[in-house]
Formats: sequence, structure tokens, C-alpha cells
Amino acid sequence: MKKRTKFILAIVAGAAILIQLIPSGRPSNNPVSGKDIASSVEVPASVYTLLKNACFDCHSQSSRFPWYSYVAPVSWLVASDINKAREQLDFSYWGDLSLKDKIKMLDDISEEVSEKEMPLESYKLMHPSARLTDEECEIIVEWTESVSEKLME
Amino acid sequence: MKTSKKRIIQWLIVCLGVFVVITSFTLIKPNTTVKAPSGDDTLVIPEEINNIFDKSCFGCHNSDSKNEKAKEKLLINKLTGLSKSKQVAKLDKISEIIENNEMPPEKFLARYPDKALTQAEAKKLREWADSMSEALLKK
Repeated sequence: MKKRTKFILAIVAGAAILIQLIPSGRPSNNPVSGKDIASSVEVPASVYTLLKNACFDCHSQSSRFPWYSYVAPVSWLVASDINKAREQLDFSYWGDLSLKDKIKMLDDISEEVSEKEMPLESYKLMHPSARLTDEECEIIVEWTESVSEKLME
Repeated sequence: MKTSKKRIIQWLIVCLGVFVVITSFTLIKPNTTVKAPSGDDTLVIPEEINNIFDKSCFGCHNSDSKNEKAKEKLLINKLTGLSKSKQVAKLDKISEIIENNEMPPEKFLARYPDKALTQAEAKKLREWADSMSEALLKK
């Protein structure tokens, strides 16, 4: 190996190690019993599985962290995605939403899923079970509508 | 003499044509107060609100629009036919988006500045959306 190539490799390796020292800001899971979606509205098992596979890793307090989510720079991306996601919608704190916000949120969920804007492409890349089929999207959409109608009663 | 008679007849035909065109336009003009086709009729769009929609929103948010994104978010012509919960969701989002000055989009307003909502129009639209949403929730 040429001296120059060795030098560059050493720099890259050094940088890769050094960036691990920068904190990623990875959030922790802090579920509160009784506030999650399943304790306030009816979530059939089939729907729950879909939500768990496609949404909960970011939009809840039950995020699963694979090994690569501990390695920078992926860890930064994971941390920022989850923090942003929970700010928008946190299924673990569903009970904190007002009636109006719940109805709005259910409509948002149905829009995001049917327009294929969620789950994110980057997430689906590493999580095959989050790649929802059209039928699975439809199951979620129908569930949001039925929950929403029940909330109006 | 003959030519002037012809002239008069020609003019009459033109006038008749204009009359027909004008009346057909008034016939096409949609009914200003749209009501739900069946069942729930809580949601009404008064003429004043309909005019605001017409001016600033309907161009994109209608079934014949080419703006797919706008159509997915809201179809004003289908609003009264939606389920009650969907109506509440859409009304609340209208109110929120107007409050945050998100609609009509800036890019659109750069091209059509006259389509911007005046403060008074924005206020009326929000008050209408909020009151309709409240009424639906109370039912």
C-alpha cells in the first residue's frame, strides 16, 4: 500500500472513532401506564401489529434500537428522527390529546399512510416489516375512521 | 333600406346570443348554500364563506383540480358529504392552517397576489370553521 493511501485511511478511521464521542441525543423510552393508544381506544390485534411494525419505533415510547443505531453517524439520524416523530405524534401519550386533537390526528394518520408518506423510506430500508402493502394501508385507514366515528358518539 | 333591415336582424341575433350565454352562466353558477346530501345537515357553507372559498381555495381544492396534493388534503365540494368526524378534522385543519398563514401557499400568492385572504376573510373563515366543528362535536 502506498504511504499516501495509508495516511488517508488512518485519517478516515480516526474520524470514524472520534465522532463516536459526540453524543447522539438518543431519546429514552418513558411509557406511562394508561395513556397509550391501546388503553383508550379499541385497537384490534391485526391493527396493533401493523402499528407496532410500522410506527411505534418512532411514534411511541417503545422504540427498539438495533445495534447500528448506536453507531455515529446513523445514531444521529435515528435520534433526530425519533425526537421529531414523537413531537408530532406519540402513541404512548395518546391519552394526553384533546378530543379535537385525536380526531385531527386520526385524519393525519390516514392521510400519511394512504399517501405513502409514512413510514419513511430510510426506515423501510432497514425494516422490511414496515413496508406496508396497499391492503395493510387500507386496514389502518379504516381503523382510523372507525375510531374517529366512535369518538364522535 | 334593405341593408339596414339586415343590419337590425343581425344585431337582434347577436343580442339574443349574448342573452342566451349570460343566462346559461347564471344557470351554471352553483347553489351558494350547499347542504349535505343526506343524513347530517349540521355543516352548512353560507354564501359569504363560499365566496371566500371560491376566491382563495377552490381553484386547487376541488375534484377537478390537477393539484393532487391539494385534492388529497381537502375537497371543498365533497366537504358536506363526509362523515361527521372527517368534517370535524377538516374544519379544524382549515382553522389551524389559516391561523398559521399556511394557505394559500406563498408560491401561489407570488403569482396570484389577489387570491390572498384579507385579515377579515381569514377571521370569518376561522370563525365559521370553529363554530361548525363545535356544533358537530356537540351533536
